[in-house]
Amino acid sequence: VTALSDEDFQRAYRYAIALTGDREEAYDVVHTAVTQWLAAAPRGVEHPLAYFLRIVRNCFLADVRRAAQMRWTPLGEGEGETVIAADLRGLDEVHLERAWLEAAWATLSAAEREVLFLWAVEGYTVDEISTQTGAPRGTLLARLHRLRRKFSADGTLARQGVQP
Amino acid sequence: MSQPDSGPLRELLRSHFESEQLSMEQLQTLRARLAAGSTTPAPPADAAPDPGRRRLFAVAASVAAAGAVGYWGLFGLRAFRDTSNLDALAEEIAYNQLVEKPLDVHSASMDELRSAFASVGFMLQPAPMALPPEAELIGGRHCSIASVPAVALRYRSSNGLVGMCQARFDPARHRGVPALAAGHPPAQRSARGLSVSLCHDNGVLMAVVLA
Repeated sequence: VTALSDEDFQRAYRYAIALTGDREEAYDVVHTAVTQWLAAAPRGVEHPLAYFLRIVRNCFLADVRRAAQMRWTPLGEGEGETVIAADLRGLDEVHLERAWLEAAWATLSAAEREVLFLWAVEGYTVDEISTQTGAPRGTLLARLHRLRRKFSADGTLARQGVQP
Repeated sequence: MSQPDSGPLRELLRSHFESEQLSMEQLQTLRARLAAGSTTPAPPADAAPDPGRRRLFAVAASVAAAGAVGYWGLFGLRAFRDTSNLDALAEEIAYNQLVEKPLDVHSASMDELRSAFASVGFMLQPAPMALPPEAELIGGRHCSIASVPAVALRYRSSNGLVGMCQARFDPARHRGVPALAAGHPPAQRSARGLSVSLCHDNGVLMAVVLA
């Protein structure tokens, strides 16, 4: 873990914000992840940042599972409903007003925020997101398809002058 | 740096997250935590083994072995059956049936539903056990069982809820579900006030839910 740079910590913190949707919770998750890495004391970690991001994710999931109100809405629930042939190019074409994005962001699930963060900020491909999150590729494509549909609808409303 | 008021989704998200930074104080706290953890002295690798500690390990190992033998004797192979996963699956399936989401396909024909849901990645199978005689198939919708894409079939019945969930059988995610082909009867569970029967056959997980 000492191989992590300050920028690596910043990236992990942003990832934690995407997962938790809250700055203070995100910091707690990163701090817990550091503690867990120290406790595990792994040897020969080839990609420290990727390993650390995985710990951050696991810490977040552990918190979610502990929260009683989340018992019946696990991260993947309802996400495997359909497998739709789609890819990330559709999202690249989405133009949006910042106000609409901020309004929509607050309504997204942790799984949706995570996939958007990994795609937009970390520049991951669908396969890389699947590796990082453990979610099946088909599930991710269906999730991205729904996000594109949602943001496209938001864009249409914005062009019609509707306020978020 | 000012953030754009509109633009491509990717650019908006990047600029949004660029503004999110750990403060210097938070970074220093993390670095201090690291420093404290990395200076914890490790036991020397070449240290001579402590005879007292060795005896303690021997006693602990003997107790553990005796416990394992006793546990095996009392509970036999049942100790190794994973029943917790069956309970979790039954809970999720009961939840799927209780949530009155709109049907994706309305049809009373299993052949039509089989064709409509073929894109999910498996072929719907006939019910593995007898359903109430008055139960009338009315359609199905997409759902998931342990994160595996699934189909929830809904029946109309005068005697309460009748439903069936099917998914491609995943040995890891659906562990513990008995195989009809091996002669095992379906597993019975109660969840959320419903009776759930689970089994798998022909590579398909099947669960019948009755009120």
